Amino acid sequence: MKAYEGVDTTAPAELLARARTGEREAFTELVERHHPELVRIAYAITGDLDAARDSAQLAWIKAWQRLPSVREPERLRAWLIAIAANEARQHLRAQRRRHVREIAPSTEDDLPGPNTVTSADRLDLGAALVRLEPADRGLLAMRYLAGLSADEIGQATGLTASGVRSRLSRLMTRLREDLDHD
Amino acid sequence: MTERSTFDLFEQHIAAELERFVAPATDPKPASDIAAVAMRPRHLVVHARNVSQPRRLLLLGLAAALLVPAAYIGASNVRPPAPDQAVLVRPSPTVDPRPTAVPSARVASGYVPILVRRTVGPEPGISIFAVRPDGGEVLVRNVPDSIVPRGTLGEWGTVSESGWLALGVEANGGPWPMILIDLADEQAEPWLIDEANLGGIGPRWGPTGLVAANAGGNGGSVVIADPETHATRIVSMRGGLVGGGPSIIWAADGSGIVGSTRNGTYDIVPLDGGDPRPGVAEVFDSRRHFGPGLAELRICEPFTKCPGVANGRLERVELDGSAMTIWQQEGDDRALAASFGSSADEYWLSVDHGNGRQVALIHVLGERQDVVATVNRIADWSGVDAPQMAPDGSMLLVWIDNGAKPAAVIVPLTGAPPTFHTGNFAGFVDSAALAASATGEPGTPAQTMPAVGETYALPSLDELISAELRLNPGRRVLSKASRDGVDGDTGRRAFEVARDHPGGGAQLDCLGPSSVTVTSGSDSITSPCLRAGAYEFTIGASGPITVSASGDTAWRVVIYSQ
Repeated sequence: MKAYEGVDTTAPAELLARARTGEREAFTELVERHHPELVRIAYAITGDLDAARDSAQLAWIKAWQRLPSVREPERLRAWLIAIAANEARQHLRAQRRRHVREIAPSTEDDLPGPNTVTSADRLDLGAALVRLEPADRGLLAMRYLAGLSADEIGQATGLTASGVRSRLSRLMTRLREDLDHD
Repeated sequence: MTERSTFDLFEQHIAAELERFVAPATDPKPASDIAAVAMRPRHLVVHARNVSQPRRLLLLGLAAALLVPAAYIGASNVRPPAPDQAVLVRPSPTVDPRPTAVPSARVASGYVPILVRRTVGPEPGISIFAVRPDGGEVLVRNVPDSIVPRGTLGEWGTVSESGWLALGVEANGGPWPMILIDLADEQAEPWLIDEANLGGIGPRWGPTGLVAANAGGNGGSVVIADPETHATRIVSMRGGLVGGGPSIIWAADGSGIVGSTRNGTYDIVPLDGGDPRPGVAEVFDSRRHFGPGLAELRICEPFTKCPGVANGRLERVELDGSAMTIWQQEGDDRALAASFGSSADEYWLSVDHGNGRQVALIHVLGERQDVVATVNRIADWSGVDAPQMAPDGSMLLVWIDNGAKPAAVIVPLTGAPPTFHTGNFAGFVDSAALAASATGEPGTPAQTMPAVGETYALPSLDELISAELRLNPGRRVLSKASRDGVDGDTGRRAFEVARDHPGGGAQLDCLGPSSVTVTSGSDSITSPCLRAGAYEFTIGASGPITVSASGDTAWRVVIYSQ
C-alpha cells in the first residue's frame, strides 16, 4: 500500500490532490511552481512590481479558498493565471488610475526569438502595449506570455473560445495599426 | 516560457516585448511564506469579498482571522475551505446582547475576557462584552459602524490589558485601517489609524502598551501606535515579519519587532529606527504560539513533517529544526491544539477525550502533566484551540470554532462550572480598567455547557451530496456509502464501497475519535477525523474501494464523476 507521503510530488494531479487535502507541503510546491508566472502576468497588467506581487499573493489566497472546486488538474495553471490576472485588474480598479510604465530600450542581445527587430520597433511596440486597457493587456499576457490557448483562456475567464479569439484578433489589429501610425 | 512555435511573426514580437516588459517581475518572498499566507484562514477576506460560503471552514482560522499565527496552523493539515458549510452548521447557543451599556459597578476583580460580536439591526456594528468569573456577560460597549467613514467594524480584534481594543475596519477594496477603542472611557473618541492596513495580518499589543499593525506590503513595514499619546511611527521590517501568516511578534522587552531576513535568519528590528539586532531570544507573543527563541509547536498527525511515526505527539521545534517531545499520546485521546505557557517549560493542550464527547485541557510544566479541566463537547464544534489562562490565573478560555461563528468556553479555576459564549475572544483585560465604563449587575446569564458531552455531528450523505451538487451541478454520484458512529464501538473493520461505474473522484468526510483510511488500489488516504471537512482525492479507474474505520467514528464516502 502506498501512503500519501510516497506519492510522487512532481505529478500535477497528485500534487493538486494532496494540496486539496490541506497538505501544506503540496500547496507550497504549487506556489513554488506557479508563483513566478503569476507575478509576471500580474505585472504585465499593472506595470507595478509591488502591485504585481500583492496581486499574486491575493491570487493564492483565493486559490486556496477555492481549491476544492478544481476538478481538472490540467486546468490548474490556466485557472491560477486567470485569478492572478483578475486580482491585478481589481488592483488597478481600486487604484482608480491607469498605471503606465515606461519601457526602457534594450540591447539586441535581450531580444528573444529568431526575428530581427530594431530598438525603435520595440519602443513603439512597448508603448502600444502600455496604451492598452489592463484587461486587454491581461488577455495578451495570458496568450503570449503564458501561452494559453483561446480555449484555456475562455474557460478560465468565462469567455467563449471564439470570443477570446475575436478579442485577440481585434487587439492584434489595433496594435498593428498603432505601430503603423507611430 | 511561452511556446511561440505557432505564433506568426507579429505575435512573436508581441510575446518578446511582453517578456521584456515583465522581466523585472520577480518576487523574492519564499514560496513557503506565500503559501502560508494563502492557507491562513481569513474570515475577513471571505466576508469582504463575498466568497460563497464554504461547506466547512476549517476554522482554526476563523479565530485567527487576524490572529492565529502560522505556528498553530502549521501543527496540522489545514484544509482549503470547501464549498458550502451550511449543512454542517447548526444554530449555536447565543446570548442576545443588551441594547445599551448599563453603567454600574465593576465587572469583577482581576482579569476578565473580552468578546466581540457583530450586531445587526437598524444600527449595525459590534458589541463588546466582558465575562465575569461567574460566566455572566456584561456589555461594555456598543459601537456602530457609522463611526468609521467607510466600511464596517471587524469583530476580529485584540485588546490590551489596559483596555484598548484594536479592530480592523473592513472596507471593500481595502485598505483596512485599524481603529482603537478605549474600553475604559466611554466618552473617548475611537482613534482611526489610517497608516495601518490590516489585511491578513492581525495587530499585536506589545509588552509596553504599544500596538503594532501591518502598514502595507504584507508585513514589509508596521505602524507602531501609542494609544495614550496618539503618536504613531512606521518601522520598516526590511526582510519581513515572522512565519507564513505572517505574524507580528514583539521582542520581550518591547524594544522592537521580530523580523525575518532574506537569508532565513531572524533579528529584532528596533522601534527607534536603529539597525536590526541579529538573533532572537525571548519574545512576547500574547497568543503564545511562538515560544522562546521563536520555537513553535507541532502535533504529529498523519501527513505532517514530523520525523518518525505520526503518533499524535506534541513536539516543540526550535529554529534550527531540532525537536523535543513535549507530550505523548497515550490511548485514544488525541491532541487537538497546543500553545506555549508563560514560563519556558510550560505548555497547554486541548485533547480529545471520552470518545470525542469531551475536551480535556492539559497543563504541562516540565515533567508534570495535569488535566486541569474537562469540557463537555457540543456537537457542532468543528475546531478547538488550546486553552489560554487569564493573567491572574483565575480562568481558562478555550476558543471554539462552531461553524459560522467563533465562540469560547470559559472555565473558572475556582470550581465553578464552565460557560459557553459566542463572539470573538479579543484578550484579557484588567477589570479595573473597565470600572468606569462597563459592567452591570446582574449581567446577562451565562450559557451553561451541556450536562453530557455530545458526540461529533456529521451531515447525512444526502446533505453532503446536495451541497456538492449545488457547488458543482455537472457532477454525478457514481457511488456512495456511509456509516454512523456507535458510541463505544471501538472495533476496527473494513467496508467495501460498491462501484457501479468506473472512474470518478472520491470525497471522504469523517468525524470521530479514530482515523479513517480509504484504499483504492495501491493508494490510500487517512483522515484523522478530528475536524469537520472533506478529504477529496482521486481513485483508481476501477476496482474496489475499501474504508477502514472503527465503529465509533462516523464516515461518508461519495464517488462523483469528475
